[in-house]
Amino acid sequence: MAGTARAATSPAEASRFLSQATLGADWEEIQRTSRIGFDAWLREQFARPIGYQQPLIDRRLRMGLEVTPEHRRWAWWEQVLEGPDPLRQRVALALSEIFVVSDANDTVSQSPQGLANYYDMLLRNAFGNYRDLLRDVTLHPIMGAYLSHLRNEKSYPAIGRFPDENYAREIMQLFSIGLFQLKQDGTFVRNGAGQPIPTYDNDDITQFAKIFTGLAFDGADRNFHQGEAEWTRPMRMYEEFHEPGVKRLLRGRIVPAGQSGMRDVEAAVDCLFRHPNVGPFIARRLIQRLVTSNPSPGYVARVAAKFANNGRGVRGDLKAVVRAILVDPEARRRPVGSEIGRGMLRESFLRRVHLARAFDAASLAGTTPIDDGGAPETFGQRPVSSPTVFNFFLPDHQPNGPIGDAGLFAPEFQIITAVTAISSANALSGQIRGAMNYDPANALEVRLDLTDEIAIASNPNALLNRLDLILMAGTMSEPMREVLLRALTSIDDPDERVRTAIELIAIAPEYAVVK
Amino acid sequence: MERISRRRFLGQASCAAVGTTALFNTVLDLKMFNALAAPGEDYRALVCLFLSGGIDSFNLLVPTSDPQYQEYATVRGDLALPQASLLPILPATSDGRAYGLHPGVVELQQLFGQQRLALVANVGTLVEPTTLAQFRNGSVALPLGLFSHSDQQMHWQSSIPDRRSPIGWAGRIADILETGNCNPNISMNISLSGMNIWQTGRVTNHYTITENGSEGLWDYGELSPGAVIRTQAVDGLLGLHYQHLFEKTFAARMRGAIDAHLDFSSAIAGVPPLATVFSNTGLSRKFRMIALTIAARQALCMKRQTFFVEVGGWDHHDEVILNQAAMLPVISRALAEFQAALVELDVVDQVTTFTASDFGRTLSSNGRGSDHAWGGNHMVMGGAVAGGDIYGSYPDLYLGNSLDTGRGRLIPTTSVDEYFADLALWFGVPEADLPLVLPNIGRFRSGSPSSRSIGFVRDVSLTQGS
Repeated sequence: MAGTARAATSPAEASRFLSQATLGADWEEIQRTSRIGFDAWLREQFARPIGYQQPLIDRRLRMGLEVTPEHRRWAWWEQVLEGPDPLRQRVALALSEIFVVSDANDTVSQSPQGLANYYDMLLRNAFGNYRDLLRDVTLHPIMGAYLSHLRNEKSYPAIGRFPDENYAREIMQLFSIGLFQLKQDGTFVRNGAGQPIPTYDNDDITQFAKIFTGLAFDGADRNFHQGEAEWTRPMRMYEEFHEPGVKRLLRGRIVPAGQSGMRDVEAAVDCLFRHPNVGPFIARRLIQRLVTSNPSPGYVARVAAKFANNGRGVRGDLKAVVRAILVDPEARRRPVGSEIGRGMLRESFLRRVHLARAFDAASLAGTTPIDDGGAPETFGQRPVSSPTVFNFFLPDHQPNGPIGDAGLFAPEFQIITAVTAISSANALSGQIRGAMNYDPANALEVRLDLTDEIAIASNPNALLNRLDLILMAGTMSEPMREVLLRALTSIDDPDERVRTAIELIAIAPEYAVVK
Repeated sequence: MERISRRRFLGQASCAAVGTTALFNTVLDLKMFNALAAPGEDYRALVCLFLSGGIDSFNLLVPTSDPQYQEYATVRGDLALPQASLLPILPATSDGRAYGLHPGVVELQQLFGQQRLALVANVGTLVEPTTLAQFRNGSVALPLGLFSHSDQQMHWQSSIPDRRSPIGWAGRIADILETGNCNPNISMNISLSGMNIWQTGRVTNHYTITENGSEGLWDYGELSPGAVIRTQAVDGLLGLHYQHLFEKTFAARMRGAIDAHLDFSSAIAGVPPLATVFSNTGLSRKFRMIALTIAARQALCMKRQTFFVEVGGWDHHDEVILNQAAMLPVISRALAEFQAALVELDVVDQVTTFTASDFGRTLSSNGRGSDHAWGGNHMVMGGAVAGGDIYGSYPDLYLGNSLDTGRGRLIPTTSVDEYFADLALWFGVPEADLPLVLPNIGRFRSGSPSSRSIGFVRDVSLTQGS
């Protein structure tokens, strides 16, 4: 094919691309991507079947086995390690850190099946349309339980009772438009005094709060207050509990009195979807999850433009947005030495995932029952276990010292403390030297497969070249290599040599930053 | 050697980076002050208990006399606690009303009676003094992101609600005072709850520990051949020169954590066990570790320390009655146990604990809980506290009162600046230097010294004999 030569790219560039587009890639995937090129890889990923979690939960239920929160985490790992859709899994995890729900919440943790269904909803919409995603998030009972609009009732002025404002506030602040008016490049619109201009005020929130009333479980018994908990179907509108009357939305939009509650919800979702902030708001958040903590205004603007119009007149096409983020020149061009703020710190927990995927972690039994019981403390993080709806870290977190002094953001540093910096390194050592879980019979223990690395360990340079390509996209500096070589040449046992090498890379500052 | 020189470098950087003559003079002043301090131990610690999510504190401190209780019961509806269930307290000064505490805080009621605990009413973030008319007509600047969790947590910790400051007021104190502590590896700001803005300074980082103490890198510094190789390699990797700011910062965090652990773990190992019994809750275990750290203050070489401990889950849009009944007793017991441990350690006058939270909550109900609001009630505990009283101004609770911006979202009558100023002064920040720590304090604090303070600290003078 004529395009083949043009499409091919170096293994190092392929590795760098995959460090942004996946949760980790092994040697073979890096070589394959190098051969087919980014465009073919993306087209292939967009067409892949979806690695859903709920079927794995349902299979347990059908077998009469118990289902606890840790079984949902097994399902997460199974799809992340074995699923057919690495790009989709990467994007869904990013979405789970924007449209946050968490099993740290008691009610949410009661339904692993519902939480799996919520995550599957993110997977399904990851390459779909943002408007569908925002509606599905809004109507999902897990979100309803998490942000308390499930069973939220209309106002009863006579007794001074008003609708719950929780979801109304967070859908605007965190899921769609943010606090301040944005230009399409993501920078603030400012008033004459140079101040940012709020996108909404508390009156707007009380209006939106009225919209999100009357929603409850869609169980067969159709009961608003006591209905059977049906966690895998969208919430149902119970008109008698929905706030009647006119509602004022943003930018002069009015919801008329007398229409159905669900039409109110659709109108509110539309109002937010059409808001000019959404493109730059979502663009910046996704770029921060996938590529860099500090995208240039131009980068945000290019992705926001794709959000506004995918080229075929469609607004909100997330497939176009994901592609735009990954193929943008700012994502593809390696930083030069003077660009000392580009890229991002690897998310603490994603180092664990990266090692597992890079070295084909598996168990003898073929399943991957990893429960990550202590991860929230050890890594400061575990997927779908954020302490609050604000995610594990804030998009505008600025560590003090050189990063803050330079006016840069580095969200992932918010969970790197004197405790987690060390406990996560220790956990990675455990993963490299032992297993990712515990099974007294060993068959279920998930271990890294280091066969190919051990085979070349007699040549420390060859070993480091390979590890540099797989784990660091060929960015290892000469001084770092010298430190590692000095250590490796003091170790005779090939197995120990390989494990020490990976262990040292895993705690090295150069590995910690995806550049 | 290497470790000490690193801290020296930071010390120099702190003066250079801030670069103001005023701050430089302050550092000198405090060094002189330390030199002149009276005989006896000069040690003070501030402990911030952050109740994240925004505690519904109008069910913590409730008027029990009529007609105020009736106003309370009317506005709160299904969120009202029964009048007879409230734990009575007798404030030293009366505003004509009687008050009670939430039924779950028996220990706090006792501490209040023993004058170890003070309450401060209707505290919140303000950019400047604000009336309802000014709020409505937009003639005053308001805190950015009013009623939003992330913003209000930030403002409560930075005390600069007119901008988004990643630097907190304990961090600013540490930037000034750190030189008074002689340990080069451990910050005077210690967090039991990870990263926080309160303790983040421009140059000073806080040190994070867990309820079990500090965390050490596996195998580091051990004597087996493999450990020696790995230790050298870790030192080598962290000692490289990094241009990229993220790599530089990551290396500094790792290096700092490894070094601090060596000092911290050996200091804690030398502390005799506490006789005080702590409950088996995460919060009590954290307070136990704070007490142990205070007990190790001389080995750690600390004269001033702050501690940050956060307990989340107060965002009760739902089930506020049920949840507070379960959560407030945990707080009450942990605080009382901590106070008992301070008595055991004979430092009760040298440690002051205070609460903070995102915001108060709406007085009116949403049918199951309450929503984000503004002013709220807070607690200060310690031997230096003029306890047994309610400070500030407890507001009217009926809807539509002169502080109500809607649904019982009350404009605070005491600003966070005023609340923190008394704590900072007690901690040792000179009055003249208060604006370095609380830049907006001048908008709230004027007049004679006696009329300036809220008054919940007995003695704000720095020197104190033992």
